[in-house]
Amino acid sequence: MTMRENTRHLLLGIFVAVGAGLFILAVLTVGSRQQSFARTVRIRVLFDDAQGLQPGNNVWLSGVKIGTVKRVSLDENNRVEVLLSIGRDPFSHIYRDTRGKIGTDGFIGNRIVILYGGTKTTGRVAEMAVLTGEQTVRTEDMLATLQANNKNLLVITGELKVIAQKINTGRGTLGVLLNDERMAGQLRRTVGGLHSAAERAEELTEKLDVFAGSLNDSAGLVHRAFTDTLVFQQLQETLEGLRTASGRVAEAAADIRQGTEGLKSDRTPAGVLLHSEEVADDLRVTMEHLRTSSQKLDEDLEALQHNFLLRGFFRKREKARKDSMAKSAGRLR
Amino acid sequence: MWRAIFLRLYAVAAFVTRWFRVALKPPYEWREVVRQCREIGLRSIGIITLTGFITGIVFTKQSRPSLADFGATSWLPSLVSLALVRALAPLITSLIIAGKVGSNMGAELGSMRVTEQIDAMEVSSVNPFKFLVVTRVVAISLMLPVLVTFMAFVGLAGSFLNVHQNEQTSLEAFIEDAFGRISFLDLFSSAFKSLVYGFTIGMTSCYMGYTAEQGTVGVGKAANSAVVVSMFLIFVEEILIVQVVNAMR
Repeated sequence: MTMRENTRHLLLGIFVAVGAGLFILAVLTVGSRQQSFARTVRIRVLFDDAQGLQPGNNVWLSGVKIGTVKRVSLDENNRVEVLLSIGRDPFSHIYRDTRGKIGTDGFIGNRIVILYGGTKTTGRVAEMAVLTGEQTVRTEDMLATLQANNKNLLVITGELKVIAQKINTGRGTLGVLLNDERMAGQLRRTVGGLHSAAERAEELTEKLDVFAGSLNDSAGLVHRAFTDTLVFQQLQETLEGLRTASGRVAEAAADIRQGTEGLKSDRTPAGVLLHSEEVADDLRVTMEHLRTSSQKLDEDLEALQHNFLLRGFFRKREKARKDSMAKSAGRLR
Repeated sequence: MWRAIFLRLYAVAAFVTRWFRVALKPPYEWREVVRQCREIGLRSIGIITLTGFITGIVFTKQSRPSLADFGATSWLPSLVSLALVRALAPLITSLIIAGKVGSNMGAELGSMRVTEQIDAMEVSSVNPFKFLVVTRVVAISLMLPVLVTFMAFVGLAGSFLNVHQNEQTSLEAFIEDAFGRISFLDLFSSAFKSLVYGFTIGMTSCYMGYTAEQGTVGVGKAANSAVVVSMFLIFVEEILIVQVVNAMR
């Protein structure tokens, strides 16, 4: 074999070795990606809907790829049983209450199984244990919601368009406000009025300020009322007296109210006297009788004075009266 | 016409059967196999490297706008690697080898046939079928998987350069993404396809050359037929193998 042939053979050997090496490298890389050469543990997750999950899809835990889906099958209750192959190391981070859900790798990427949650206190999950799967929001559901939002948006924009048209044409309160010059003038005047009111309020505030200053003056009554204990005590006593007086006035008012109530009532004598027309008529008749009776009595008494039995008495009394008057006149002289 | 077709089919079947019968029977012509491997493999590295590199770059560039519409340019590595491993590398390599090596084989054997060199070998103690046909078919069947693997990696390298230039993707991330979607089935089906395509090219080219007639015209015809029929059969086999592999997936 010549040197040239040897070189050719060597080159061919290198070429074949490189080709075979590259192929083996590809196999190893794919194998490591799929954990084909690593020791794995299998667990199951039950879902209501597989959402297109396929064997070979990835399994994530906290965003880290920890395994692959090995089998997707239906159980006797028509639930989807997904068999997962998990690496030994990440398997120790899966707990009994860890849950699974089906997501996507990116917005339009492959389906993946996402394991999440789980507390240390519940203990590590056993091999071939069944984890609970949760239903996630599917793209179809999101699109349906988006469609509903679009419809609402359409209605809102339509209504906004109507409002904008009304405003532009000067209809409605806002339209008038924006387009009516008279309204603008009124608004301007109102603002002017508000301005002057504000000025007055400012003046008032200044006066209040002065008044407050006078309150702080130690010679003033109010200041003393607030600071001098003697004056305060007197004020307190006065207020107490006023409170007592007002209590009494209240009692008197209550009595008066009670009396007035009695007068208003037709069951009390006074009320009957005030309100009953029948009694009034009786009283009127009685008064008439009294008047005539007293007139007659007066006449009778006049007659009695001239009666022989009583005439002496009246003469004696007249005489005594005249004597008394004469004595008084004499004393005066 | 039908008679001619069936006679030709019989001749092809007999040729293939003879190949298996002769190939499995010692003695083996290893030196000639190695020489043919060198001729087929080493002599094709240049064109395979160039074609693979350009394929990787062009496929990446052409795929980018479509993926960019979805904001998914990060999928380029996995897309290119899947395309290269599953289809592009085996198919393009086979077509190049069919054009380069197949025509060469057809012309070489055809020339030997019309100049009666093969007849002379038959008279001597050398088995021309074993020495000329079996060695070539074995060599091309062995070399094509190597060339396909080589082309896939060169294509990925070209793709990486383009992706790195545009998306600033690191080599590590590129490899992670590129091999993330490839499965063992993809790798082994690609290797199997290469083997089948190599065998097809070898058998077709050798048959066309070994059975060449009509002098120098027959040599040209054999070279041309070797390329055309090989390419046609490669596409037919591609369809069949893809169907089978997809059913297994």
